[in-house]
Amino acid sequence: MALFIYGTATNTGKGFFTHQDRQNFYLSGQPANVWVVGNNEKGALWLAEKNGVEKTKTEAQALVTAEVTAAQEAWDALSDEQKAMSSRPGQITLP
Amino acid sequence: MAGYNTIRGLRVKYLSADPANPEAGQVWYNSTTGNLRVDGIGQAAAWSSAANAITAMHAGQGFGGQSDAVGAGGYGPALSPAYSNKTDEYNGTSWSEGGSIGSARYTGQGCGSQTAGLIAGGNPVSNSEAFLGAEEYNGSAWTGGGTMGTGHGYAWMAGIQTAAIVYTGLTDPSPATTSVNAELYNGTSWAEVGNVNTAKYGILGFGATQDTAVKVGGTSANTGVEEYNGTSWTAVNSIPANRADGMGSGAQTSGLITAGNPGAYTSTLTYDGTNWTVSAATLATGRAGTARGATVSNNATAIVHHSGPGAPRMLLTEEYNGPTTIVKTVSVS
Repeated sequence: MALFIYGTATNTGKGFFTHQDRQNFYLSGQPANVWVVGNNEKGALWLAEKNGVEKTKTEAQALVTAEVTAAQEAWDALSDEQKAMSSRPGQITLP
Repeated sequence: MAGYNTIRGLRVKYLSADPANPEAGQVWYNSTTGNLRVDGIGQAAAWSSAANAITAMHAGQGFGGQSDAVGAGGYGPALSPAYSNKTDEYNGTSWSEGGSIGSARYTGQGCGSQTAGLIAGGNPVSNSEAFLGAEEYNGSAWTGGGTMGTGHGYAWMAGIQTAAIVYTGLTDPSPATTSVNAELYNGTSWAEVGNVNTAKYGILGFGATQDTAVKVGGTSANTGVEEYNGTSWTAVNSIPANRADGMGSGAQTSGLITAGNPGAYTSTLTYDGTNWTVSAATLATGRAGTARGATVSNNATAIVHHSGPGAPRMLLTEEYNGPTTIVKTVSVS
């Protein structure tokens, strides 16, 4: 069985994931509203309850890569002074 | 069957009542109720989602705690000319917009509470050198505070509005010029005190009072930690890995750090005044460039907000709640 479920869902703020959720399953938020969720019953239920759209790992990775690439391009276009304020976003490899 | 004293090498205490402050894992016999009792972990520490902030900004100033956090200033997703003078206030449930800062700034420091807050330093819009000015917040409006002797940007501040300390950081971001300077604020004016041992910027920190500040990590590639005792700074146990531009909260004997670079950390470390411990609690969303500052009395709770990189993280807020312990009767049947 795969370790993780991948999906997209919009973080609506308080209650989107609770203290108890964090005890029940692995959860990692990524760019492009991608969530990596521990593959157990409670994790799957959580994604469904949040109106999440399940993705394959490849699809989720593509979404994350596209958003990070766009952020990198935006950062590259900044002036040196502006670049000094922040780090260039790094690409993310989903687990 | 082996007895408890054989397994633990300790005798079980014989008490007439449950102890007031038992340690996790402590076992005792309550002679009044006739029960063997144990203090166990009720719920492990965790970060959970909180209400999304109003203003997209990061690397601004912060203060307050989980029920009275404030994010002030910073810069937004467009970067230019998006230096912010906005203030977002949190009440434990939702964010609302507060008064505007007099001088828009980012990478400054904050401390105090929502109704008695203080920000100082950082970088203003029109000057590349670190800002000398401070501003005080009363929960609705900002007024000018005392002027620091040395600029402090990407630094940290601990204490409260009328008794704060700001330490190290950059006096000029371009080229990066660090300073060992530390200054105390009494609500009116700033005065130099003992320098930190190692000048860094992008540090994390915490401290409930100005005499118990802690300096953690920073750029570049630093694991060093220093504690202030009201007079001087002393190097203490290091954190296990480099960390900069993250969030610190709590007191010198009960502190917490999370987030930061490199790599937008999700991990959380707690500090007991001597040792650092990697918490089981991790941020759901890794981040750096959080609002700089908090004033809370311990590491039982914390909040991280107004972070980067990227616009979504500027709004995403997470709350930390430490482990809870419960006392239970041991059943041997």
